[in-house]
Amino acid sequence: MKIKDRHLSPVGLIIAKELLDKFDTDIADSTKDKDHVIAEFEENIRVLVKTHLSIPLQRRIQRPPGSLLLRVAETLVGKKRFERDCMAALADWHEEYFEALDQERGRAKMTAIRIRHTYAFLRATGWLVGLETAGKLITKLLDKIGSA
Amino acid sequence: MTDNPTRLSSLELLVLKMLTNTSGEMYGLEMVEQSGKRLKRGTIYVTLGRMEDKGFIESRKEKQREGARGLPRRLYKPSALGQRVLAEWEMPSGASMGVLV
Repeated sequence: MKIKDRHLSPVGLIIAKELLDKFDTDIADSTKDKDHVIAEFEENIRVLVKTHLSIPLQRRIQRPPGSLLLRVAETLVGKKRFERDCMAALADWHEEYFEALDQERGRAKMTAIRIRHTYAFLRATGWLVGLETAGKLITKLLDKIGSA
Repeated sequence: MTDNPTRLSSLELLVLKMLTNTSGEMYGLEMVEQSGKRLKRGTIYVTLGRMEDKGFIESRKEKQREGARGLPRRLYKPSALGQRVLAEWEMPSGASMGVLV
């Protein structure tokens, strides 16, 4: 994952700049082991990303897409269907979503992914079949009333 | 098991062919992408679930990959029965076991 300015909190950005300065100094120092300098820098960056993420990114990571749907489905869908079909649908949703997030795709692409996978998830729960059947029944009923 | 296990729909046939032709396992979205729009996101999981009920395919949850942020994916592969049904289906004399619906 590429780290951009907007991924880090303001304090995180200051620390990142300090780390970069220190890295430049250490790497230029011929007395220091370069492998060790690189390893130390990577470890520091890893800690920084974990502790100083920007709030919008934290929110996105704390609430991955489909969380609410999953919670609703957990209570309303049978265990087998939930664990097999719904979880598979959501896992594929996450796969595509995070891949697009890494590639920094635009809002339109992210929305398209959300819509497509929400539909797929709802189909996996079987709710849409129920709604379609109810719709057909109502249409038939209205036709009968109309022709009477 | 509610369905006749030897019945094979066109979508089920397509899924079985894809899973048999691939060397390893596949996940739902991968099948959708490789099917050239013949499989849809909206129907793939229902189809896969039904095929697993019939015993044509087997699935397992993928081990969480390092650095993965989402849920672990579900990987599918053809079962021995699925491979037998497909082989019968592809016999030139016609499908002795299967009935395309």
